[in-house]
Amino acid sequence: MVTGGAASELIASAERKAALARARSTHEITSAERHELLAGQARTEALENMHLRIAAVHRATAACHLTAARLQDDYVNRLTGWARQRGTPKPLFMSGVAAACGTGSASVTLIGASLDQLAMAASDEPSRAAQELEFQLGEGPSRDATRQARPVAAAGAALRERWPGYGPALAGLGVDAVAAVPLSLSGRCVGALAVFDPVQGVADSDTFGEVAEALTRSMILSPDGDPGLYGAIDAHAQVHQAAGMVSEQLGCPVTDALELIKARAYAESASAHAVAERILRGELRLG
Amino acid sequence: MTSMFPPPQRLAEAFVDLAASPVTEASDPTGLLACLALHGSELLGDCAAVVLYAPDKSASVEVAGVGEGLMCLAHDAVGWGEGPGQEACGGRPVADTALDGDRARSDWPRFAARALELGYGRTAALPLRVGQESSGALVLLGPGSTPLPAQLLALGQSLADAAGWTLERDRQLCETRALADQLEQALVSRVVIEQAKGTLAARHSISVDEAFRVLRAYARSHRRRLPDVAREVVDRTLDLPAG
Repeated sequence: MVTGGAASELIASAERKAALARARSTHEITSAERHELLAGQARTEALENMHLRIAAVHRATAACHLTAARLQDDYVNRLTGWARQRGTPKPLFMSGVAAACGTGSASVTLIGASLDQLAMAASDEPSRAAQELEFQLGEGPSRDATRQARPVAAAGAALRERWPGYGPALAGLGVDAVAAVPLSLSGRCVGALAVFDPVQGVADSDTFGEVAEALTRSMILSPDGDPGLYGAIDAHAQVHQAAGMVSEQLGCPVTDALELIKARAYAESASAHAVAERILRGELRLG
Repeated sequence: MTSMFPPPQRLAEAFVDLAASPVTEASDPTGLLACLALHGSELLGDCAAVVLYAPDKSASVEVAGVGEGLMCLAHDAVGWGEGPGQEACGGRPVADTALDGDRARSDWPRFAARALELGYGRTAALPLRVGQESSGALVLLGPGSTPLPAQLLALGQSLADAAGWTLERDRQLCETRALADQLEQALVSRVVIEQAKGTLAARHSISVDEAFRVLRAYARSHRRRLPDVAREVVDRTLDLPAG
């Protein structure tokens, strides 16, 4: 049971982030206007072009900060509603992210240099299940978007062609289309934002990429952000504990132990987390 | 001095050099400052240009310029803490000033005397703005007694702004990459600590919470980082007793 204090603290934190993002947006607009003015006064085309180009970057950054502010506003609204109606599940920041992308199902996956899934957050059950599949099978849109540092989209038969394991399993969840964009800033990609069964056109809209950039700038790679997405990020803690346990029991490297757990979960159509809990309780021994 | 405005082609080259390269790798600020000083010297009539750069208040000042005498003057001026460059570093431009005039003699006695010796008669300085801060200056020195034309100073400010834009993006890039490294490090550490908890729990038939206490106690008493200890436990190069 979450206390009233927790709701008000979350609200305060989200309001702070919203205000900060708005201030940053305003600052970027001021900079853009200054360069637009300078472009108008420029005596040569070279100078005019330079100022216009700089202004365009400031405008785009301003829009991104505004999107970030709206994501925080949305979370504040959800939290405020929740604070009034106790007993309902705690709202997820990711629900607002999904809504901003025009879908109900969205996931954020943080992926390391080794392309391992390090942490994840999802807006609903289908997106959580899709992420779990990607974790178990080691293939899928978030991993590809991160590796290639560019958007990835597939639907219908293309899902199965592109990912022989993940595609059919995703279809088994009733998901027919997926799109992912990298969470990247300054040439560094730290994961991907994925949407499942988005409304037609979402995957190629600018909005999707803008939400990803807003998330990266304001939450994931910001000095005053929160890469844990308000406590919603799951770092597979139990799964890694169980992997350590299996590694000790079998005398095998922990990476092999982790693969055994994932394989077991896939074979049982269970989550790696569920398998890990049984191992941790001593109810299941692998090998 | 010539008051001819530089040809558009040359200007375009200068702006491309200073501000149009896509920033995907943090550039070496020294190279960019040298580039600004060189373009300044070549484009701004007969003026000589010197660049000062002090990104954070405590750090030393970087100096770029063309010619030994000029560079020596610029370095000495930093040491003396005087001159138009130091003033413009504060964010406000220093307007065209006669080096043999009262203002120069009283405010920058050593700077003015040396600049006159080198054959310069006028000076002005333009702030090098990086984001919201002023982090340096472009100092212009003109020969003779003809005032530096406003048009030339405006162009100098544009060159400084172009370089400032690139420096700002470089700074953002470095900050973002540091944050990305920290984030990945934290997540990878978390993984290995969880794995070590499981390993120790299985090894000593203790709970994962107890295993964590064992890990933490060992790291503290041996003054080592928890993720390093965890890594060795997982790799079986370190065997911790159950405590």
